[in-house]
Amino acid sequence: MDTSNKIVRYGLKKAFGYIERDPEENLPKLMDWVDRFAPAGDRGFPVQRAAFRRVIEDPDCAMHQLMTRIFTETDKEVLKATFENFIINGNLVGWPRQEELREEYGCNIPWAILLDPTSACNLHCTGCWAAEYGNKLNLSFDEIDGIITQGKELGVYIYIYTGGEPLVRKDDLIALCRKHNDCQFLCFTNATLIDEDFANAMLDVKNFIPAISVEGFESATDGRRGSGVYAKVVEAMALLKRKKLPFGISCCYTSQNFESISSDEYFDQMVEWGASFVWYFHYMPIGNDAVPGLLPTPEQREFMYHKIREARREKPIFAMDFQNDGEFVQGCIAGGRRYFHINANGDCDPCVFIHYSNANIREMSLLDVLRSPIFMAYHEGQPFNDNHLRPCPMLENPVKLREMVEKTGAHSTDLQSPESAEHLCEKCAAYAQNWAPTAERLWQCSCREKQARQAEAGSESHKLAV
Amino acid sequence: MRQTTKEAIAQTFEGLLEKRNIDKITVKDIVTECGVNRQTFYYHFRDIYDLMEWALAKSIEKYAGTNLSAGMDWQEQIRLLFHFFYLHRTTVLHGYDATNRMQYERAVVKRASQMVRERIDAYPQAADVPEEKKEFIATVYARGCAGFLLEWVEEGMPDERHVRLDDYFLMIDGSIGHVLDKFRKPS
Ligand code: SF4
Repeated sequence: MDTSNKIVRYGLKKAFGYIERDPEENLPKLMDWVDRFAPAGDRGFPVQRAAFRRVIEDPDCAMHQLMTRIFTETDKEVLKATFENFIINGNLVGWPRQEELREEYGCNIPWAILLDPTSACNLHCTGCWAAEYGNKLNLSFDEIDGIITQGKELGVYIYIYTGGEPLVRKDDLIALCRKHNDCQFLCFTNATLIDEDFANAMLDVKNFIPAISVEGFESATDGRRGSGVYAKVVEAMALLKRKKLPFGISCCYTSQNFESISSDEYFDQMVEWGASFVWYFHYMPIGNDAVPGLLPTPEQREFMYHKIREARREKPIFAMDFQNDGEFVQGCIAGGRRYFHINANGDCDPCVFIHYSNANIREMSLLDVLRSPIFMAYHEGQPFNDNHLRPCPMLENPVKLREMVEKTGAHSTDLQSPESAEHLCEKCAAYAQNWAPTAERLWQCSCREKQARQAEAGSESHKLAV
Repeated sequence: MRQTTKEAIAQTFEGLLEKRNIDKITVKDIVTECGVNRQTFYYHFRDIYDLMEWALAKSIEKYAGTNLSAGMDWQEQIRLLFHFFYLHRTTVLHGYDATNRMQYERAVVKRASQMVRERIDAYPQAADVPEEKKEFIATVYARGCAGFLLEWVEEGMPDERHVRLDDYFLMIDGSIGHVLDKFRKPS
């Protein structure tokens, strides 16, 4: 940490003061503070800050209601830690450092690292890649500690646990939160291991946010995960809400469940449970026993496209759909461009869904992982398509993944059922072809909308100038 | 169960601190000596300074529990606090460095301001002074007292009678009522 950051940290007290008080009055002041703090130019996220500012100034919009909800219903100390670790360290401090290193090393430097502390899970859900991973692989405390320590050197302050069920290792995760109290931790979890003790530990460390997988209402959940699981998950969410701990929800959408998990009723239910965000994942046909029939049709995916955008306008919960929101991040974010994945065996995969690699964190440094062949192939290939509604080198551009794997000699790191890239990509070929026309049409529309918005903003600033 | 592990770690640390300076003690030393693994250490403490602060607060609390009694004169209480530091002279000196200076100060200010606060509340005019102002007054006085303590630590902690607490008490005691009058809410 350089001195200028230290000096700025004193200013944080002031920002914390705003967080403690009434949000309606103090959010604009907090935003002024952030504006002063943000680095100049593109590195200071001007577009995102402007969007925040609009939300703060418009009390009627759903995102404003979400902000008010977060500020009034979250434990203040947790909120301060999230502000410091996520907003300040993760973005305003971390990002310029990442940009510097991207230039210096000519490779991708991530914004977040996903890792599997364990391949073990306490549930056995049908179709879950984790359940079939086998039960014996773990990244040790010292290994994860080493990854985070190296990550911070590269400006990475955001760590996301996947698995397996990460909370099988909950004591170690709390220890890591405490040791790296300048980082923000998120965790995909089935929530069944969240109890009173663990919630208290979360309150104590303040930098751990769960993203709970809930895939619909009771019958859908219990059908897949075993009876009684739904009730347990709902109970865990009630506990988090009572403890004023922030959390989100993650859902995988398929041709079978897309309607129910994007219904208004379901959105309202998630808000009621107390979730602040929901992450949607498009079903991926990975593994030898994947079911391509679960892939959404073009109509179904388009339905999700509109539905999530509508929800962002109307529901006080932050919804994101990783496959359809590529336009906000310029396409594929894997291969270390914004993130990559380390499995419980130490293998470094470009993406949580793409298990081909030539790098293992047990054998090389984090920086060398980012400079390994498949990561460099990602770096050079991104974006894989100029249409960000077709971001993926597997799902929408399967030829690309096959090429990259072949060229780099990356091997399958899939712990449960190693699969050749040809086999995987073949399953996506028809999907990719069918989706292309819809993607083109939607992309044209959204480009036109964007232009219209820009023109409007341009004329407004022109008016102001006059 | 957890609580005992936490205390065991603190005890091991204090044992090591008897023998050498804090900058010569590593997390590894502590966990090896205590027979726990690194993750157990970090489950409870962020780093050695975090442990130091916790251990200090804990032992002050324990000491206060056995030595302070209700209704005891506040000056006597502060003297006892100084005496506590004197009793733990070796570990206090071994633990003292630029970072810990702040931790010592925080611990003393916290304790001493409670003591001054009791004195403040005994004044009849205290009822007319807003809560936050009373906190403020207590903190100002406590900081003075903490300043003496740190200076004394820096001098290597000779006999605590060297600290000029008598003059400090004389000055404060007469002034509290006066200060409270100034902060009185207009009625
Ligand atoms: S590889 Fe595909 S699934 Fe992974 S981040 Fe890129 S676009 Fe998304």
